[in-house]
Amino acid sequence: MRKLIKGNEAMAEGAVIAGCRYYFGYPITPQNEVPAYMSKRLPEVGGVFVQAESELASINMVYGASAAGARVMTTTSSPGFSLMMEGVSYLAASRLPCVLANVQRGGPGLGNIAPAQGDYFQAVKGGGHGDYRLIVFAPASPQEMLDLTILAFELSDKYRVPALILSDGIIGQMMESVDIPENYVPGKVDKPWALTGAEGRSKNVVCSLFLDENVMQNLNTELSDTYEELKKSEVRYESFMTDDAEAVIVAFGTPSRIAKNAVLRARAEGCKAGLLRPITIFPFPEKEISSLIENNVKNFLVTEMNSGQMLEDVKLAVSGRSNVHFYGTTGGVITDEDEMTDRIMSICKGGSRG
Amino acid sequence: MTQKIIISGFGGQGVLSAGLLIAESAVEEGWNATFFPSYGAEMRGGTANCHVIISDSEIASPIIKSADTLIALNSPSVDKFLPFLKENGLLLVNSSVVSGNFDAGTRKVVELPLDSLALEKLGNSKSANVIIIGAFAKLTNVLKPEKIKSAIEKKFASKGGKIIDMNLRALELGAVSV
Repeated sequence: MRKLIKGNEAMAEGAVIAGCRYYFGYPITPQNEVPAYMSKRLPEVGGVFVQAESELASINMVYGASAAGARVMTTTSSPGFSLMMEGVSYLAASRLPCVLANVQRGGPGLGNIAPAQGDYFQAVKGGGHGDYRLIVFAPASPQEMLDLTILAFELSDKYRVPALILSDGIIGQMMESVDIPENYVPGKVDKPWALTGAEGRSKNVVCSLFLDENVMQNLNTELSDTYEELKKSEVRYESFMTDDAEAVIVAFGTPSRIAKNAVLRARAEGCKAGLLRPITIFPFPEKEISSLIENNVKNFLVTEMNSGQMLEDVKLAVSGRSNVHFYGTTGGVITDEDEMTDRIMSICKGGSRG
Repeated sequence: MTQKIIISGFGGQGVLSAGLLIAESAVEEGWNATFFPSYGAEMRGGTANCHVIISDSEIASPIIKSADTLIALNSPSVDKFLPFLKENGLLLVNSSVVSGNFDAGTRKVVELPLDSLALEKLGNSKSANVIIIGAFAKLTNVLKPEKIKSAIEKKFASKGGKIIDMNLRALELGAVSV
């Protein structure tokens, strides 16, 4: 079925399609359509919606439902996600699968309600305490809000790593046509660790407290191994006109949409531009960046709605082999298509403004 | 073909539903459409607006910097969004509410007294926003009337035949008024 719906609603419906029957959340703009949708939709499919008393309560309810083996979700926006950080670290340490979403707004602090991408570091480098990662998706359309939420549930269960949809106010609020799958069958993943009642088996324990440092180190090693596996098997990205490109824009979410037009406009002027759009930002498509360099890309232009966060991951992947330029807007200001086109054009002409 | 439309007016004038109807009609046509509403901190008495882009190719940003059409249902909307309308763009104005004190430069201006038209011809001011869609479709030729009709029929299916009929008459009224 094809339907014109909001990104936030597409994400919520994606969760329902993936078999999520538990949603706990606390309202915050610009993602309120998710709890609104879930409050109506989940009871229709025998699920449970709880408006929690706070973000702390939401994330800990997620911990409980996940420990019991359920597919569960919470969603929030920037300041709300900061409040959840302790719980996210506990989820990661307890190896509890779940899907979280941060529909980012302008920050830092209470900030504003305009779309932004300032929470990249928090999303991909940890955010909470300790050595942990999330599987992080960066949707660029309402369609991807739906598709990647379904995938997030599957991968989170498979790897026992919490997944995060890192979206922004535009992708959440905008409406676009979305193909809604009608016969999706959620993956069946055995959860022998889940707390389902210990009758006839030995007890399961889900916790994140390991007082013996060697036991704690073993968990850390196990986690690192899983993250390495994610890097090997689950990197996703889109390449747009990169085959013969000499200058490549790297952008995720909203700026990546704008970048497509900038690439087309630059191409029309004879500048061989392309776009690399990371769809997973952890794991990050570093190998693809390397192969672009081997393919003669001398310049990258990283474009974000922050002051240069993914920029660091691109620089790590490039390792000094090509030039890396940056164009950012902050505080909820949206990437300007003319400005981006000018930048990529001037890079093509060799007169980079960095 | 890409058409970028900004619709703006007081909250309650049907700004968002009008934008949505245009987007839905484009989808009926088999085109791509994006709809981006103003959200959050709008003041009482302030303007609500939405950005609608319809296109036969992929749509980049859903935010409009340079619009082909501005549909202004009140005066603040003209002031706020006229600078975003292309110099050869179309300005559709609700002259029941908007005074003529603006300089549209080289842009094409079409004024329609939506509120009085709706009251006199339809006996109800509720579908004033659909009248202007009828005018928009006629003037720009980008949406076929039958696609808008089928979008209206789907949109108001749960409200019954009377409401559908009123909106179809509003659509027709808009088309014959320009």
